[in-house]
Amino acid sequence: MTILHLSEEEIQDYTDGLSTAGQQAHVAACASCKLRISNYQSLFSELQTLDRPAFDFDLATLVLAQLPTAKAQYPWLPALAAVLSVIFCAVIALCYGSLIGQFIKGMSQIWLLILLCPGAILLSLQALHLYQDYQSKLTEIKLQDLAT
Amino acid sequence: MNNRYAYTLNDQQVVAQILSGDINAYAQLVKRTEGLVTQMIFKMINNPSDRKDLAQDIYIKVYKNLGDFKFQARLSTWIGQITYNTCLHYLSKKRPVLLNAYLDADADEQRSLERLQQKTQDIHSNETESIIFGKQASSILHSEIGRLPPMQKLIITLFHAEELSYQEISEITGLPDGTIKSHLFRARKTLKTNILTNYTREDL
Repeated sequence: MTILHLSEEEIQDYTDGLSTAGQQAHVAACASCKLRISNYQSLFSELQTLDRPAFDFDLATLVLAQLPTAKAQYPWLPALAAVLSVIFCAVIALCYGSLIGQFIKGMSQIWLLILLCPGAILLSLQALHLYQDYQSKLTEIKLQDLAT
Repeated sequence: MNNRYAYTLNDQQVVAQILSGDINAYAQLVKRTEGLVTQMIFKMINNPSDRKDLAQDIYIKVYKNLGDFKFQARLSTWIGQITYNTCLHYLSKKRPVLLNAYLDADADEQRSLERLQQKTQDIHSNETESIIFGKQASSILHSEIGRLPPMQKLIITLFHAEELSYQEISEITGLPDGTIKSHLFRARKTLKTNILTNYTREDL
């Protein structure tokens, strides 16, 4: 029998059922290693029977009440509407471009501002939303990298 | 609610039922997997009211992304991944210090490991006491697990209480097997050493 006791890592592996024939022979004759294995066995078995934490509310009921409504039956519909809108605007611009130009030129500055300002605000909000979305995705990617 | 889902349908069938609009199937999926999700949330998040919000957020995310799940892992493992990432994201927003405890705890761990090694050397030379757990075992173990570094706390729970394999824990956390084994080794060693040094047989 070798007098070299099993290392702490080997003792843990042994308790997990991973051991070599040499280690088994040593443990069979070594009271100290047997005791160390027995202590881990007690610990592991107690860890398996620990009470599991539980919420004091019905999670399934809470979640069901918040589920988003069913997905659109035709998810391609918004894209089709956008394409048709662009085509419609292009046709109008081609057919009545000169008339629209004259109309805009004839408008007072106040009316121009009334038309342009909401458009600019809407565009800015869209850009801000896109930026926030981008930042949030970037953060998730960074977290993944950090975790690995 | 129909309990047949819980026992007769496998993961693929439950997902198919949910995607076809069966809301009761989703309730059963929550019931099947909430044990793991609750364990993870309790180990990663200390604030009780935040735990409740997070648990709901996680299952809303699962529902929204279920159509993209391609069974590349077990359904519970995939939900575990979402839980882990959602908790990390929460920590990064609300508790940057706690996030560092998860992701950058090497320095602290190194110091505690050195202290532990000193303690264990004393014990190795004279480990004569047997650990025999009694009535107080549960509260003592809960308290000692609570004192472990965050990642060790999570990994020892996933391995021993949830009985997940190294590979499953690796898929959930994105950590390599070796890192998980190292966290698990340290956690078990710390628990054993602390129990042997801090408690007598009568305490346990």
